[in-house]
Amino acid sequence: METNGNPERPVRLLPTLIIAAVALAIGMWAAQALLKKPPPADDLVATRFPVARQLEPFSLTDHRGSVFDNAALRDHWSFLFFGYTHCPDVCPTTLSVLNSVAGKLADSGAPVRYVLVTVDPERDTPEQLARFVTYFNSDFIGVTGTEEGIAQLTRQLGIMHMKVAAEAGQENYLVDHTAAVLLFDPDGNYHAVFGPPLSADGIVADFNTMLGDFR
Amino acid sequence: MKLIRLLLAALLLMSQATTALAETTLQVTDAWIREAPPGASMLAGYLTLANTGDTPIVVEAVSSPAFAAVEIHQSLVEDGIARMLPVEALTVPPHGTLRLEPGGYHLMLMHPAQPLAAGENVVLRLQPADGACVTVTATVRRQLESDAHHHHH
Repeated sequence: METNGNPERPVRLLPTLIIAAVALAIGMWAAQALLKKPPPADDLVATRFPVARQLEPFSLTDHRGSVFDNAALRDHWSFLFFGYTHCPDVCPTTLSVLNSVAGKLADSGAPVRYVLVTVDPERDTPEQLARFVTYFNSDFIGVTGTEEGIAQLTRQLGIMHMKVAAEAGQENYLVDHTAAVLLFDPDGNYHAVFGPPLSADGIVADFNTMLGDFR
Repeated sequence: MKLIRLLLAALLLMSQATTALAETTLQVTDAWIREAPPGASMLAGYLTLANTGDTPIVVEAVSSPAFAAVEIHQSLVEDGIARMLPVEALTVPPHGTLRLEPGGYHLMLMHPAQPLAAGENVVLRLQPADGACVTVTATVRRQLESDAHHHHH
């Protein structure tokens, strides 16, 4: 057995070596990925992407009837929120926070737009959106489109939305949706995301930091 | 004699029962309704419930003459997703409070009989599972966050 065992050794060693090499490669890749991810000393409540993400083409319509596509995100900063007008608690609260942000950033000199993209195009016509968003701030923009058009945008941004039937009538359905506020930079790229709970002061402070770091 | 005693006992029981009903341990304060954008069919109402008694109070139903229907809802954020869930009842612990506030428990006020503007008052009726109905007046107002910053208004 012993004489048979010796020549087998290198053959048995080979799989071990392969496993070790693969493990080393994974380890190095993971370490690199981990080290790359957080930008140095990013003391923000927002999650900022190391490299702002370019968007795939999408095409929607704003509450005035104009096309709202990739070009509509360029040459100014944009805060985007996904919601719907039949939402009485979370969406008005978020728009109130954004109105407060708008007030605080009015003197910053940076051009900023605030956009509500509906996840309920069935009920949120441009007219309904116009009444809703301009109630909070006459400069706010409401955006709607076809189910497919909205999906073009939500899918690439990882925005979840799901219709939930109310127990009694179908008319009063609710829509679960991602509660975050997304920030796009003047290149039209997805720059950062603010998760709930949202605070106007936190958003303003982070925005000013990112504005200073931009380019 | 026996009959009179029985009647007296019955009367005593009845009076005790009625005082128990009248002396509610449920107190409702800070009731307000968020003014909604024009044309909105869903509004949210908020209030604070306090229980001064030794037993939990379960509020099962809320109604209002100003709305076609009122439901108790809870806003939840789970894994970054905002959802609203209908709630069967609100339980106020003994000597405790329960706050209905933006982003949490709230009253879903559906289909207002007429548009409601800030400053108007609306009657809400809360029905505990055992106990008398409690009526409270809620004032319609804009949300606090935007109250402080009247941008473009």
